[in-house]
Amino acid sequence: MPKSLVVYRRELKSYFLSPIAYVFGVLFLGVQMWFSTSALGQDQPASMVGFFQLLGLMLLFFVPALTMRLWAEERKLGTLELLMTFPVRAGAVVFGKFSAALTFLAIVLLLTVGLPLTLAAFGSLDWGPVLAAYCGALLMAGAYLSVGMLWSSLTRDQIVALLLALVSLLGLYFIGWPRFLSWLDAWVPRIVLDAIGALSPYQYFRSMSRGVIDSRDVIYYLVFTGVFLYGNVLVLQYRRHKG
Amino acid sequence: MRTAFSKRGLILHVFLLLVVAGEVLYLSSFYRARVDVTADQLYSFSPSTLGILDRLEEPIRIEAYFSAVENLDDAWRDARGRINSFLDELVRVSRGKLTIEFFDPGAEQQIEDRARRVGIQSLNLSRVEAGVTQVAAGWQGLRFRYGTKVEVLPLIPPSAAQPPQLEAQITPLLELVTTEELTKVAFFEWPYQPPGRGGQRPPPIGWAQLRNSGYLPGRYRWIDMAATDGLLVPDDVDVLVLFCPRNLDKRTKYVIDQHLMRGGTVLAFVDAHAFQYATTTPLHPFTPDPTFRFDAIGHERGYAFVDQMDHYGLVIHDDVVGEGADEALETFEMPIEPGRSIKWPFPFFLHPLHYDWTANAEQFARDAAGNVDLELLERYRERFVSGMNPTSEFARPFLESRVGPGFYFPTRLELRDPLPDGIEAEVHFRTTPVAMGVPSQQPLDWIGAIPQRMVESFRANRETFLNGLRGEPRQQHPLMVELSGAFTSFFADKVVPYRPGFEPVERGPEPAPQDPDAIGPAVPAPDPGPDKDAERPILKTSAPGARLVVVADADGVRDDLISERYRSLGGPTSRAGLTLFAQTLDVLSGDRDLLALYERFVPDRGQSYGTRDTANEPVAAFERRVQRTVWWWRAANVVVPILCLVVVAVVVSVRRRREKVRFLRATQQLKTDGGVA
Repeated sequence: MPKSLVVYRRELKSYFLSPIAYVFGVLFLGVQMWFSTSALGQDQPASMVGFFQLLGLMLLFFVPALTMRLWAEERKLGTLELLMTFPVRAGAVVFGKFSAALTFLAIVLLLTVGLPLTLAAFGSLDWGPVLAAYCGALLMAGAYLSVGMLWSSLTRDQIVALLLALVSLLGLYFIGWPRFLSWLDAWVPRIVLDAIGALSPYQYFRSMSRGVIDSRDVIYYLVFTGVFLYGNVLVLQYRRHKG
Repeated sequence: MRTAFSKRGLILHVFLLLVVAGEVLYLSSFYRARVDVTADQLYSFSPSTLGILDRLEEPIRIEAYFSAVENLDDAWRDARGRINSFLDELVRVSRGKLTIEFFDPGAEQQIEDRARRVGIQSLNLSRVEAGVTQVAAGWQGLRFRYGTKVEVLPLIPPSAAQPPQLEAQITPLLELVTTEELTKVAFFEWPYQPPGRGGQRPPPIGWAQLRNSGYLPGRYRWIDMAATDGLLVPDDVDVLVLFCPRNLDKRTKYVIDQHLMRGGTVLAFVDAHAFQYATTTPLHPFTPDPTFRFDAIGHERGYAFVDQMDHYGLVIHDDVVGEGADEALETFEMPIEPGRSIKWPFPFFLHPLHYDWTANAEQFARDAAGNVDLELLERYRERFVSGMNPTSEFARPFLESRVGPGFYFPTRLELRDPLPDGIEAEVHFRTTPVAMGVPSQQPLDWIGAIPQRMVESFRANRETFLNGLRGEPRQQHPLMVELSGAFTSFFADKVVPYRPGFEPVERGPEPAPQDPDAIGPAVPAPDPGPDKDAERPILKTSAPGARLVVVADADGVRDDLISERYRSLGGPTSRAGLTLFAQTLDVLSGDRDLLALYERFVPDRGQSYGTRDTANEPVAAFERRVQRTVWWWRAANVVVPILCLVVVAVVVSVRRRREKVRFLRATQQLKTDGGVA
């Protein structure tokens, strides 16, 4: 069995054995669904646009809470050093943890499927954009997870990991915000502005949520996630090398 | 095996990683695949748009005059996002043939002046920021430049910024700006001549403004057939428009006939009557003009215009159609004295409704005693249809709102029964079943001359009309009819009115000159061929594609109604006359792809949590019932996912506890067994 699969299974099991994951899930679902169910109403359009608009922000705040313990806790408890002595590559460990976290998020997102089912039952919901948006949400969640994991690997303290991840994700979010970009327009050349705006995960999700799957958006998320996961691998390798 | 791992190596690793990632992202912007997964393909361009972009021989430049996003409110900002996405995609599919330049009129006075000069419009937008109301001009217009041609989309409001709407606005302008050759449309018009006053004759009221409205002059070149001195319609013209035909001579009827026979389309806005356009006050614009007639004075028997139309399959009655259903009436405001006006639900100003009248068949089949005539009910269920044909391309712009264009003193039309062989008919607009025809020459001035008695006079006349309507059988009168198929010429068995001096001449070969000294038989001279100035011989049957479209009203597309000038004098204003005319022309000119753009609208995906039993459930009770249903579903969507998680947590917790208990027992057992041992 591939080693990353072993790590994946162990990590996923630990989510369901840990109360933190349930608290995370309950709070996430409670807030997300509480505000999203305002989309239900007589004569209102059957649309999940509001749900996915909110989801982007919710993931931004909740994902760091999920990732903060991934490495920081292991470092604090001393189990990371033990893990590093196992005959398993850093990449496999990183990928296993990442996959487990993403699977857990996917399961939580799956629990929101009641809303589109309700909209479809009482209205004419266009499923194409909904499914595309769920895929986009997973890609975006993966990107956020990779950022959170990197920060978690750089510190022992879970709170510090949480804060660093939160601030960096908020920063990435706001550099794609139209108001910020138009303010920055007065200070930097257009080409630099476009490059800064292109870094933000904010805009790549919007076209998917409308129902347009663009290879540029998918590649962005894959590359973004890959860069931060690789960074995570480099950090682990460095620690292993340092001994 | 341990590998050397230095800080320098790490930095190099990261740098190379970022370079590679940046390259991949950069390249992915150029080499992209895109899939539109919406059910209605909302974000995919139509074949019309793609075709225009493919045909481009030189680049199109689009100048986007857009205000800065920070000055916009939320609705405009959302719209801007969609517009930018649309334009990005347009640039991408154009493969470099389309470029966009952005200008912010709010940034510099020079840019604002230029925007105004080229025709871009702005709206004042107010928003509240930190408790202070701020007003800013919102600019969101486009200017298209292709060579020396320019077109402008003055303003794209948020309400028109969904992708299908954007395409429906932008693609016609792309076509306009890139089209060198305009589609030719021939016309005859018979302007209404209002009576003069004080020796001065006011200008005639016609359809020139209509032909020059909106995008029409940029798409169509109008050929006035009256100026051709009786020529046949040129072969490169497909559509011949007749604006209020009257006093037609034989030759004009022949021109119309032969255009149809050539496979062309005749579009006729007919009125069997006209009402005097008075310029005195108080106004009584409802007195019929007794001099109005279809045929020229002294017309020859057997050549009447109504007979010509009847020959093709359409009967034009000398009646005006009036509506009894209030919801189908155009109300207009008429000044009765300075500072006072009254709204009249005048039965002869009507519009078709998109409504399934079979739903009212039972109501119409009841007699005075309330009993239902079953035979009548069956007939009504078979015959009644919506006032707008839902499959009609002419009716398309009106279907969503369910209210059709306005008809003013519409003429009563009827399809010949049976239709001529080889002819098919389609009715695009109809009245409600509660309508009837009244003779056109009867006085229809319901309000009279005395202001104090206008209301009373109107009510009395209306009551008379409704009483007459009650005695009439329920039927829907056609307001716009299309006939197509194999027409035969109206002049097939008549003397053909060729242009004098241009009659087709059948010439045989000229006899050879006799040479008295010649030996042998005379050699005939070569055939000189047909006279090139002669008209072609009559076509007696139509070529494929011949169409006759008749609209039962010419007033609705008249300049003074469309410009609202008639309204200022107490008459009505045209409801959607320009839209009807433009749509009809576009359909007949055959740009199906472009027309299909207007069909692409964001579909209604409204939710419904209940339907009201209109007979037994008050509105308030229905609303409460619906709110309760919605509340339960909202609660379920919040509680059920959380409950699922809680249940899983409880199950896992119980299982772990059991495992722990089992483990502890096993350990205890071991201790006990070990102790005993």
